[in-house]
Amino acid sequence: MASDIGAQLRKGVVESCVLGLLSREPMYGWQLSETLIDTGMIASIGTLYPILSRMRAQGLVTTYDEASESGPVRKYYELTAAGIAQLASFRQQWGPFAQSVVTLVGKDETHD
Amino acid sequence: MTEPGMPGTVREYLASLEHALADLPAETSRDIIGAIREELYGLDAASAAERIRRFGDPQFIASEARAAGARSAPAMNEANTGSPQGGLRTSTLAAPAMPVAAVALAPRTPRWFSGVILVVMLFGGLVLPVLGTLVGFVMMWCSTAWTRTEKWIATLAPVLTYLALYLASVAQRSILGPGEMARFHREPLIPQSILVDTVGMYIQAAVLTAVCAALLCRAVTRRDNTEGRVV
Repeated sequence: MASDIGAQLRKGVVESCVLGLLSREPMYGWQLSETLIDTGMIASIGTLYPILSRMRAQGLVTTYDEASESGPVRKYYELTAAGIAQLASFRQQWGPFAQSVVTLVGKDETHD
Repeated sequence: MTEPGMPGTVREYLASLEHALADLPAETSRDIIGAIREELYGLDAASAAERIRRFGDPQFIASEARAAGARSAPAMNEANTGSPQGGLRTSTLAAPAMPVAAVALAPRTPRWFSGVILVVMLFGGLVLPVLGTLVGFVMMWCSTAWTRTEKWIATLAPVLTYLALYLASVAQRSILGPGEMARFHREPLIPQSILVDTVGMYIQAAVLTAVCAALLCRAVTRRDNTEGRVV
């Protein structure tokens, strides 16, 4: 089913995308959720938290609270050393993997 | 606990969300509600309604969380239960803003308690020398009323002042020598303010007072800004 393919692909990479985003800067839930929703990686903020929860349990991310300049206290997520290592490993494997898939799948000759 | 001035739609949405997420693991539901509360904090009714539209229907959030939770458990290849491809953003945006009861906003230290902390920081040392002041600083670090940077500044300013005064005092003693120092203390015509030991106390007290005053301003103005904030 066509709709299943996109979901299956997202499922496989969304965690690494979270690692990638957090490698730039610590982020809070809404920030992460908006970025991932905008790029079509998750459907709602509800999708994000079970993933974050598991990543925290695995020691890939950690959290801290910080009061914003003119707003509420926010829970920020940041990478741990294990998270950084996991991201590095994903980055190494992703390129060759994507290349192999492209080679194996081939081009769609019936569409542009 | 209800935040005064919180729009009814926010209260209702949060309660509805809490109800929808009730069957999820406690940690997940707490995190989701916490994150959404953070974003709705201090918004006026119109901004809150817009933000709520972006969050979407609590039932949709709950079903997505359930699906992601089931996927992220042990199995890596479980069947998809998510939204149809390409329909992600649309389904979120189309979700109706839901209303219902009261849930606490982000757990921020109340303003009156920030005042108590500052009083302990300022006068704790008079009741219990050193320890009283330390207790005040520990309370300040545990509070959510200030940012981490503010807490560092508030901590380092008095500590660095103390160190600077200590070094100045040592330098003055070594320059004047013990005999001269004793004469300075005895001699009524020499103003005591030229001795670092005498004036240092006042400088230290002034710095601590300034720090507490600055923290008070931050605690008060931040809360005011938040309540009137329009995003």
